[in-house]
Amino acid sequence: MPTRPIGWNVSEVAFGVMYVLVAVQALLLAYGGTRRYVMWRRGRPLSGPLDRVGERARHALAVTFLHRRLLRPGYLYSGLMHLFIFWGFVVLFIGTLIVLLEADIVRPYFGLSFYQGTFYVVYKLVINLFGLLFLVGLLMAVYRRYGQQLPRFRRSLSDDAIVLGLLLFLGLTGFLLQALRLAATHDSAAPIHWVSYPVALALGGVDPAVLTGAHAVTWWSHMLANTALLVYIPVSKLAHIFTGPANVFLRATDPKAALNTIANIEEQEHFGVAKLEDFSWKQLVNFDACMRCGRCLDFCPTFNTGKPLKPRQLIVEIGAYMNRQAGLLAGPAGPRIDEAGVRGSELTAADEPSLVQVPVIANLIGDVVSEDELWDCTTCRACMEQCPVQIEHVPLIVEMRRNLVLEQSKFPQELVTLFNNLERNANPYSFPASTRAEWAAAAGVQELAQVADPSSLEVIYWVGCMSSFDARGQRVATALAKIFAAAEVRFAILGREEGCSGDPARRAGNEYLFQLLAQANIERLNHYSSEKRIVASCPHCFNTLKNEYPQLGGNYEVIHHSQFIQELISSGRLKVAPGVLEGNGFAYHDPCYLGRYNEVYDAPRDVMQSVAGGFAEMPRCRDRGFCCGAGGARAFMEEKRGTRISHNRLNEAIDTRADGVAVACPFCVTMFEDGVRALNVEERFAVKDIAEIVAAALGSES
Amino acid sequence: MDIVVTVKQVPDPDIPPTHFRVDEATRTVIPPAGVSPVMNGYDAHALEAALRLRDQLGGKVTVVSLGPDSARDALKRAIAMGADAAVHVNDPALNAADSTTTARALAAAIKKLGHVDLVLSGRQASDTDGGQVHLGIATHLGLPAVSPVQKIDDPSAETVVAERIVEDGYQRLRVRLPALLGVSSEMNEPRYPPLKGIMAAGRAQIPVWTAADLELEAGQPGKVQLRRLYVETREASVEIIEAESPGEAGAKLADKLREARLV
Repeated sequence: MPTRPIGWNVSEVAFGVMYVLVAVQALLLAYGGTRRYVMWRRGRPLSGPLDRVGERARHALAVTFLHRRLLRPGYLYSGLMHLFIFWGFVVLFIGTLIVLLEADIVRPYFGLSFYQGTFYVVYKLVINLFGLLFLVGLLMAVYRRYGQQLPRFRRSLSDDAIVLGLLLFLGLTGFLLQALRLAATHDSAAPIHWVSYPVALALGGVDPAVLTGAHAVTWWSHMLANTALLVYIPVSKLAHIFTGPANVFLRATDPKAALNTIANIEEQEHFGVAKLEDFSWKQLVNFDACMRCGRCLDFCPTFNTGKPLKPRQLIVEIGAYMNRQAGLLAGPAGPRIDEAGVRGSELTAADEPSLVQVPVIANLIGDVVSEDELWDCTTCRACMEQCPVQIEHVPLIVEMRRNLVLEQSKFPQELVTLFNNLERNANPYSFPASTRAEWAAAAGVQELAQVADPSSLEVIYWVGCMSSFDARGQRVATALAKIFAAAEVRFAILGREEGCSGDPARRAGNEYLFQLLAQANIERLNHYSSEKRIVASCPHCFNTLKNEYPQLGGNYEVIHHSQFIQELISSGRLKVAPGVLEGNGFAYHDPCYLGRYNEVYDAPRDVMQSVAGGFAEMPRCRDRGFCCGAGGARAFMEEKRGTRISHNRLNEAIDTRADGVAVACPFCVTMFEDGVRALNVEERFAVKDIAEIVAAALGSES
Repeated sequence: MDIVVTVKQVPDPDIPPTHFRVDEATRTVIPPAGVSPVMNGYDAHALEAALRLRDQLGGKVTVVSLGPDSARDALKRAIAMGADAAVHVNDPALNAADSTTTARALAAAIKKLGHVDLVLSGRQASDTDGGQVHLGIATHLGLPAVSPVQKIDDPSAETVVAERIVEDGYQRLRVRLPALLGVSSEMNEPRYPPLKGIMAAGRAQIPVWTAADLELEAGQPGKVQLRRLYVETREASVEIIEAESPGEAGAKLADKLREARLV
């Protein structure tokens, strides 16, 4: 019956040492883990992340064991790479536990043995397979980091090399141990060790004494490397083995598009985050979950246009600052300005792990994270969408913005204008609120206050500031009004009773102003019955009304105009000739607050399919779409750093050879309109909202 | 350094002029509904300058405004931005005050406040664009006045250096304190109030002083009297000049223009 003597060529003393080492490893792991836990507890208390345990556990298990977030479109190589390493690691670990069970529990206490026969054969076949996958995954990782020359791996740290080196050494010595034993003992079951068997055959001619000696040396080095690995886990990026799934488990489960609200804001003394302790404990876990994979950078508008903000750097640096303040081994900390005087550039030598304590004077905002980095963010969510361990970057940035705005009153001058305008006119511009409905009068659209019987209305059209005041935006609103008329939708607008939804204020950190604006709108909407559907033509308004107004007592059914138009077409209320546009048609651009934040990817595409007979898909699309640069109140700030985000995206749209770009957001429209003029392509490249394309298709029919 | 800043509440200057109506009977301007008035822009620059001087040298910033009940909002805004105290001069008798009366009332209020090192005012208000009141205050208080000022330098207990805008550049003047400076918008960017300031302003009790409190002599007429307030009417008419040739048309056009005394 095939089996093997457990502990062949290993003395009792060596076994004793091994068990002592295992105990030491466990203690050190527990110690490292406890230090981290204590550090996280310095954050603000927050009960949310521990609710709905069952749902959280299911999600965390699926993400961890099925690689739901690692194996995604565009990430086949790195997804498989991690899958191989992960399952190799898990199965080899289970394999070790099985041997432990046989040798230390079943045999001594029950006098039984299962580590033989068919079980043994299957065990060996499987262990060899997963050991091989483990090695393949590791070699793929070595090639990915050091061979492929990816922009995001322009610099690597010694931590990256140590982790790969240790794991490779463990995998190789594991197979070598097996091969040496097979060769020295002439094991008749050798062929079932199908990976190490060829090595054993090659070693066949070597003197058995040499093989035995080599086996002992390899055994000790394998064991010591294993100890080193376990001690290294809590102080390196390998901590993600534990912190990654923990972070996924603790993720925000509120509507993902809603920023948290500051309750009783008028009674607070302190706002947002100015120092580590101001983060919630869950947010502190974020910083330890990062293993620097850099997927956050792939679709990041600021990283890809050479701006200071690089989400990975932000997380790595705050994490290192946190760890060093707690006296734990970690990367960079304190003031760091590289040769060019630019903060937050690529990983540098300063990011090397170190135990140097942070000088107490180092401020989180200013020394560790620059204000430029914080104001760069468009809140497009590309980083959060791609992060395999669901780090929540955008709320971290908004929390720090909140401190700058509400407490320190330190922010770009353009935002002073924005806030003043929002306060005075309830719109981001200097147009008086009384002129909000002027476009509607011209287009024959009614205001709710003028409607004799509001109950007869089907929907309320929420126009938004851009389409109310901006001449270009008004064309979108007018097109939508034409569509409503063609489908005989009874609707009205709030008009002069509508005010800014508050999105730019909230994302710029002015939570107080957001709440004032939102409360005013909620009061009006509740007055007109909250049961009516609201159709919004601005994804920012759409998102805020739908996902954030419930925090302040406004519960409405809100849909975006792309969804409503799709509904009108599919129900047959809106008749469009299934035409094909002349020329090459449009490329479709996903607005972040429609796509990534609310997962409305198909409705606008279906509409394009119906009226234009299709559209060109850009390489960066859907959840991997690329921001136009307007979100997070960036539309109201100057883009002084790096190259233009909108130009980067426009060039991608132009490269599809389409005749124009179709969007579903007035801010995207204006960013791209500016872009086509700057790139000097306005003659041959159009920018249209899908409502305009649909309205034009109606016109050609009549 | 104890500084007094005078502020005026004005209609939002961003409102297009066409949105205002004029009541000729009462000689008042009626702003569009639903638009809240704001602190005069130049006054915000003056307040910002005062706050920076105080933060640098210590002392106290007091804001004073003359106006109806609604002017309290401008004072609250000033407290939100960081002013230490505010005084609201509010009396129906002063509602239609011209610039001399306003200057007299504000000067009396500043005198009542006691010790003052520096008075900062906006160079003019965006509604009337008169630019008279702050110079009147200086006259009544017997203070040296410099206006319009784009920069304040080298402040000490006795003097400051004021950069006065002149046609082709600026003058640098060392001014003995106490003095009054008319602040122009080149000086700074007014801050946006932190939330704590907004909350403090919400709670602040602002004392109201009437004409009697200021011991203003009643019945002193203003120097400016508003006779009529109206919106200019514009008339346009078109006349086509008929002629055989361009040359003849030109000659006829010239005659017409001369008739109309346009050339």
